[in-house]
Amino acid sequence: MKAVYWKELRELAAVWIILLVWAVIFALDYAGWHKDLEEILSLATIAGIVTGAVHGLLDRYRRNDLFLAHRPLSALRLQFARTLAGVTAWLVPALVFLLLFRVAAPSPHYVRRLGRFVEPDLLSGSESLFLLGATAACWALLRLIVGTRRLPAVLGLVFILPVAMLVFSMRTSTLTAAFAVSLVIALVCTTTTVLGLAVGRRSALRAACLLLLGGVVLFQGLGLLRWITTDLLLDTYPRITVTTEGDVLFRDHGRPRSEVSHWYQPHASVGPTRGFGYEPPWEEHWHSAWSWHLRIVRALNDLEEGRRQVGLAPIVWRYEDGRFLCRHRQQLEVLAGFGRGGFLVGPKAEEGAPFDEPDQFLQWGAAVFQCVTEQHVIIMKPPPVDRIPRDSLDPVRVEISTKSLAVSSRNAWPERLADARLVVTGDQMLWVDQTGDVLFRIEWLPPKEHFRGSFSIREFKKEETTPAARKEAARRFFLVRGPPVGHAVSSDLEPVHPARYTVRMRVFRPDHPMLLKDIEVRPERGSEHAAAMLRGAVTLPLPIPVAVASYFSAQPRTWDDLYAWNVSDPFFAGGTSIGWLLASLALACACAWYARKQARMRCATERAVRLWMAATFLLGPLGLVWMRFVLGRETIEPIGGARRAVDLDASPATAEPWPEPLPTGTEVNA
Amino acid sequence: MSESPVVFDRVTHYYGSERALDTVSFRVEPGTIFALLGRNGAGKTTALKCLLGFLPPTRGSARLLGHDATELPPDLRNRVGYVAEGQQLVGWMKVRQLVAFQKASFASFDAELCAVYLKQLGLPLKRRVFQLSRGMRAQLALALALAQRPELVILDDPAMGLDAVVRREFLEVMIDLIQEEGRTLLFTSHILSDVERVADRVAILDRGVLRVNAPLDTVKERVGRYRALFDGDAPAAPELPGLVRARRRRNELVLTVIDGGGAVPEACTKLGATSVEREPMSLEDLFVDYTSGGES
Repeated sequence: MKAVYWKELRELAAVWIILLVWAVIFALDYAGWHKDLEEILSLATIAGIVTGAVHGLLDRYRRNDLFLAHRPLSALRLQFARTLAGVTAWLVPALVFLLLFRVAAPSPHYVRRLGRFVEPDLLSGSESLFLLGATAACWALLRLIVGTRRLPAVLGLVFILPVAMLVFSMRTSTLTAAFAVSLVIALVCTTTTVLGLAVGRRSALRAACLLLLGGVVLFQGLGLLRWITTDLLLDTYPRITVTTEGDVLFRDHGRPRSEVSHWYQPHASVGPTRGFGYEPPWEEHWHSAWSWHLRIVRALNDLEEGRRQVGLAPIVWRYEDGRFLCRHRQQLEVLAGFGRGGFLVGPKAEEGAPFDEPDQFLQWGAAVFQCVTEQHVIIMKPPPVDRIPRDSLDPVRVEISTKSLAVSSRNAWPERLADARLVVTGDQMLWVDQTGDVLFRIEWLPPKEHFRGSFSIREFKKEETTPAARKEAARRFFLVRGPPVGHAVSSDLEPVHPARYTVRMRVFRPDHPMLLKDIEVRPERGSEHAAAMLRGAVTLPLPIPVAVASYFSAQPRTWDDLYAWNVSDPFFAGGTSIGWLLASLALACACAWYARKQARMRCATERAVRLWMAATFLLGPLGLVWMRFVLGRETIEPIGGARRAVDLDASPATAEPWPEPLPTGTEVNA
Repeated sequence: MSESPVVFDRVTHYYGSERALDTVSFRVEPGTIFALLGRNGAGKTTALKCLLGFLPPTRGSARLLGHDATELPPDLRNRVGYVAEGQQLVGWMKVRQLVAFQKASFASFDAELCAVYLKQLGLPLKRRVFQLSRGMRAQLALALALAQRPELVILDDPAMGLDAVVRREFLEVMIDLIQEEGRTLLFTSHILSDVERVADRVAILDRGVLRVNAPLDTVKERVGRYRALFDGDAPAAPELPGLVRARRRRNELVLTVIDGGGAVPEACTKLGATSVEREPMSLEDLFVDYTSGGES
């Protein structure tokens, strides 16, 4: 095996060089252009996937290398040696990357930048290992599946690539998810190889693949399908709902609340009839993916324009033992945000404890920061995952000094805050200055109402969108914008539904009473109804028992339900109508029919054929994947790049005895 | 009696809907040189792949040195020398590196013997494999396979692409090396004249079906070519048992028949033939008649 290992290593020289160049580019790119870790991670993952796929294709080509195959090594040990060589070839550039990464990015800068995205357990310098693990796992998986089997390779590419993109482009819990996925992938690769080596039989490898890789494919596949049918599909009809209330025009141009993980997006803008702020779709996307980064860019843009920039500095607090403890401070002059179990306010702070809250709280901050520019009310509610226990709040008052906060001298408003006191009651939180005036107030939303976003109302000379390049548009967006004339807060009302929902808008303007308006958002056109209906398509490929359970399971009624329904349990994301259940049944029948056809060609007994039919009926398309793993593929070996259909009547593997070729009378046997 | 090192028992193999082997059964006895013949795509390489466990038979079973081909223990390959079609080797390695590579892989590999073979064949140790001529590569592949001291040598078209001189040289070396220790040899080839010179027994695959499996002498003895001359144009070929091929050329009718003996002259005479003669047949003639078949 050693000889094969060294031979493979030598033959991977080209891969080494490509990866090495890649690694250097990545590392320098990060240091030189201050790319987000997230972007680097995405690129590295794609690199892993692409090189793994290429590598796997090479393996497929080498499978025909009979000189190598004919030696006293099992096929698995041979593959193992190859894989080991590949891992080595991957590790060397990765280590070069990490080295450059460390050298090029000074430690404080490094930590600070990563701190915006990475959870605390990854902050201790293990991001690099995480990065390495994620990319290597992607590489290993793709190499394994592309190099060994065709269908899983397709499945892998179909499911894993977009899921990986999704995972790495989204925020919040994405890193955790990515880590989990990487871990599972690595586990799959290791376990299948070890099991295969231990048992030394292909059937064992297949069983291991079935149990592990099949499971991952199922989970990822269903997750992707859910994403497509709930999020992507409903994105096909971005709607703008326009209503008027008094002299205010409300315009909701958000997409349906299809994916809870997007809850932090500012979906709506609102403003007086004479003008309103409009966030074009690309900006909405930025909010979802890179909002924090975007905010920083904006700040820089404004500074370049010589404008006064309100400092932004999110600080996340935690309420513990009757005190609010600072959990995180950003050096950037950014304001705003709410944290789990606490709230934020704040000017610049130099140093702070590592941030250990999920990223969404930063995004909350980013979403609301514009509100806290005057004496306005912020109406918010902590996320449901860990609400502030109201009972633990002193119903009378809790006073917290904010003097310890480092206040930027450039901003008048935060200076006032430095001498202010925070007063917490059962219903609200108040910032009170020395004279007792309320600087601003934080209230809880009523029950069954959930914070959605908060927006400044700014004047525009005219209604205008700027479909230009991103950065350019961002600049123009600010240049044409007038000063704030008030702000609005939007919230969702229960029960929630991905396609039909109600947005409650609260508009606060100086010298005006609060204006409250409920905006009903629902599909209107035929295509919108169709898109909304199609979200149940996730039921279609589910195994029949799951589809049935999904059909009979309760629909989400609350925001929390939706969260759990969509995120925690993607298997039950469908079942919205009997039609989808019937379609699922039809698909299961089709799968069973196809399985029968295939099994008759590859199984020796009718009993096995019947078992495969039953299995594929129960499991649906997954059953076919399973069958593909378990049964040999040789009879459908692709020839000339295309899979040939097997004529069932001429099949050699049916249960009937296979007749000998008819004698021609010209045989010579002796 | 020792067990046959190679046994094919009703082996059928499909590539998709393409039947490459159809119920092929034969065995190779120890110490014999067995030639597996057939046209391109007849299934020769597929048969060897099935035998070596690279392809599982769709039906039937193949046994190699007493083991089922689908479950060959890795160590068994120490006892089998194999040269794949096209003499696949590692091109970037130098000859001596390749020898070392083989030595590291095969427990039974005898480096000293290999050195002797290489010297005997005049192969340069310091040249890279891709720099060698095709003939040298073939010889190198053979030397590497034989240096394992295998009980069974399997060669898949080892002389493919070699010119007549190199081929003859190669064959001579091959025969010498193999017969030295009474090894069993199973090989495929298109070069029938070579096969005729070395093979003890031949098998002919015709579109996946085994049509001939007999000692070479027996085949030559039983398959005869008869040339019948007529006064006018030759008539259509008569219905004959064992007729392999019939050809008409103006006034002559050429029939290739198995065990034709007295039946062919008698039938031709009935058709008005003025003379009927049995011609000597080379293996190549026989092969062409077998694999092209029919009447022309």
